[in-house]
Amino acid sequence: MVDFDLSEEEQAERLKKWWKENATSIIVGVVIGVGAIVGINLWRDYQTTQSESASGLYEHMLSAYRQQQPDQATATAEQIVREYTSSPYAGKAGLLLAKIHYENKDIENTEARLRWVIDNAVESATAHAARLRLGRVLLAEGKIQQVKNLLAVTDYGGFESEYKELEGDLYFEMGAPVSAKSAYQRALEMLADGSNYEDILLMKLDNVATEASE
Amino acid sequence: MLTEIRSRATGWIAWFIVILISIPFALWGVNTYFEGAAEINVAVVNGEEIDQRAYRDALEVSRARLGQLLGDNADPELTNSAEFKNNVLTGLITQVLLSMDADQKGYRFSDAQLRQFIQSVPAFQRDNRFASDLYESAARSQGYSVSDFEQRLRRQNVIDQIRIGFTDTSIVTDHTLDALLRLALQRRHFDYATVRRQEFIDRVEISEAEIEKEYNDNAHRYQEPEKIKVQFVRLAVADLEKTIALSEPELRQIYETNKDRYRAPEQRKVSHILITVPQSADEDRLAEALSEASALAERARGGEDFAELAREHSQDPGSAPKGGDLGVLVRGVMVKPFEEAVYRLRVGEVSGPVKTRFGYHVIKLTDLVPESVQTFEQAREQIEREERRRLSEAQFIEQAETFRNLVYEEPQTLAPVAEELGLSLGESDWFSVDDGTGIAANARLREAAFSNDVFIEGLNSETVEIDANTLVAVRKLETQTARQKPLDDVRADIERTLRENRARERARQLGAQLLSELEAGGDWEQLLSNNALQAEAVSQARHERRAEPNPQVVAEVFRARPPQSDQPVYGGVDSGSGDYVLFRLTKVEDGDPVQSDSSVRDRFRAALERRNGYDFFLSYQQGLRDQADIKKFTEQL
Repeated sequence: MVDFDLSEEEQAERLKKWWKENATSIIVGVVIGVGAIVGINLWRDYQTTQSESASGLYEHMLSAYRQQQPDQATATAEQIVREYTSSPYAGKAGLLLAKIHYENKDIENTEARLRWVIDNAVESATAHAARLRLGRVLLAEGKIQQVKNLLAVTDYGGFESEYKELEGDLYFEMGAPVSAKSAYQRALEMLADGSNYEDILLMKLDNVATEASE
Repeated sequence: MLTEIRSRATGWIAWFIVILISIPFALWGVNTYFEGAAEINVAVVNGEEIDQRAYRDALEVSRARLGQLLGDNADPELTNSAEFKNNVLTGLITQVLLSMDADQKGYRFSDAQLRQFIQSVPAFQRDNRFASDLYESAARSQGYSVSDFEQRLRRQNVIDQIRIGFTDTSIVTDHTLDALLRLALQRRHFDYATVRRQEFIDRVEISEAEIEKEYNDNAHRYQEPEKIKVQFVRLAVADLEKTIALSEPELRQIYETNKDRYRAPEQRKVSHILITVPQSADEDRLAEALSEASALAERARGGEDFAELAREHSQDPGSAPKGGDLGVLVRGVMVKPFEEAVYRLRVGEVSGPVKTRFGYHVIKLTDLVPESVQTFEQAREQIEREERRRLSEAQFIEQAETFRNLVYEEPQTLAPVAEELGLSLGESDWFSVDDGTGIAANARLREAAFSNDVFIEGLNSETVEIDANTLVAVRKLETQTARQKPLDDVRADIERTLRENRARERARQLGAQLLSELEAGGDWEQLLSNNALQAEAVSQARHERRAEPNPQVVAEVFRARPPQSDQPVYGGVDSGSGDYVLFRLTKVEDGDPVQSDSSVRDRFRAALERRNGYDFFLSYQQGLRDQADIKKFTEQL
């Protein structure tokens, strides 16, 4: 729009004309742009405040549970689950609720809560934790088919060792040591660095070693 | 074009352009255009760089931690290994991934939470209250600015939230625990007998032909490795110390200027009995306390044990249990009247009551070591040693640069560096890459000597830092290629090895033969006695993992199929030391979770809690690593 061959007045003239033609769209554009930036910032601030509130409640929940005040912990956990469902704290709070139910021998609600975490946790790792724990609870109930369904995951997300161990335990109880053996072997192979669980997996593996070779 | 713009662009057009250009600077700050030189990266994780400084810090921390753990057993080579370094890097990468993921998923730790956390850390407290200077010095001592330190604490707290979210929510079902206990407490009863290799060692024959065959077939085993002999030049504080001459006046000068260091001040050891009087006490109360103190002073002077009296009557809670002992008195620490009284006492003497703002003291001087001053003659040796050390270290630092430069700049010879710094050239003995003596005892030096530059090209090695006070550079004098040892030198070794292998084979054969006879229905006792073998009975639980008779055998017994209907199961295994062990598994009892010892139950419950909690946290990290885009530059480690 700036042509250096024109005189200053001509340039000013042109610029004025150009401004007249485009003023509305430019102003609208600027307003929308600024509005979007302000809006995004407000939204971010809101998100941060939300996350920080959830974080504070979460700390409160953990310390209440550690100080053996399960009722207090339950109330706080339920608030997190209810009001901050889309935060990662909700899934973790759900895991604690399930544990408290289990400690109260309330198997039905334990299962329900773990299923809720599987379906609603924003973090896949939290969902895996719930899935594996539910598997153990169901195995204790003898609900073999349901455990099998839980084991049918496509992405283990780093939890393959735990899944394979559960699978091995399931097969062992079903009287299928050959399948149990290969599951335990895989569990051992995929055991995370820093775990202390190797000895126990080896025990389980030894126990099915010869049965499987026959 | 540019000059045209400059000549024409005046007035408001110029301003328009200037404003246009300045917008990005105003928004993003000029500093992004002038950021410091880039650090060398050791890894890039999802686009985030990890630089060498962060890596070196982490390496230091890991080394220090391992050092604490292993103490004197710590092997410096271990922490230099590629595996160790790679583990440190993986740890660092995981930290970055954890922070990133936490942030992305929406974990937050607010300023208020952080404040509360920092104020609750005992290490940052004095007298149970938060002390900001302790906090700030803690940050600095770890090499962080306060705001960086805060950032780290925030990150750590968020990661802790994730971890605790796994560990504190774990569910261990009784079903899982009982199943594990049945297995872990499973008890196996078995007998075993050992067919010893030693029994056969003198009974086997090894012919000359066999020895020659082994010598020829496995020639590589009977080689002497390639060796090198080097010329070396060394700059060492220890060597420099010997060259430093210190004159008498110099030493005396040092003594005079640092005289205080050679003076041990007088030491007075005191005990006291305190009868407290509140500041607000009236005349009567004072008089009462005074008479009590006087009475105690009298009793002590009359020969009663001062310490005993202090224990019984002193109202100073700090010293009373120690018989009133206050330790060595440092001048200027005690309140004036107390101190004055102490300095009037002779050893063993007990003072009358002394009034201070705490109350009345009865004081005893229990020991007095007069001030002692080391004379120049006495201190001389120490002064000389320290000064020698100080000067040679300074000289070392000054010359190290020259040493490195000359070794590098004149790769064809070590003479210039030796001449310039007045060092002598030494010669090593022969050494191999794995083993050496003298300067070659150092692995890094051997590595340098066998580098391509030195071993093949015959150039100077790089400067090797043997330790913080010693630098060495070497060049090749002679090399020796790997060569075959003469048969006569190794005949005895070969003979012994073959004999041992043959005996082992014979033990194994006999064992296997007995095993097949047993499995065909042979009688255990009969077969053993026919072969002069002794059986021993063992009963142990799976989790006990005892090493009797030996780990391989125990493992094999617990892998064996359980016996059916009183029919024992036989097995055999090479014990690992060349003996062959036969076993007879007679009985397998499943563990009884109900009857189990509660400490065992607790131990396995804890193991399952961890499996169901902490292991999940580890697996979560594994998942992060699996998904991340990680580039490692291991050559930068």
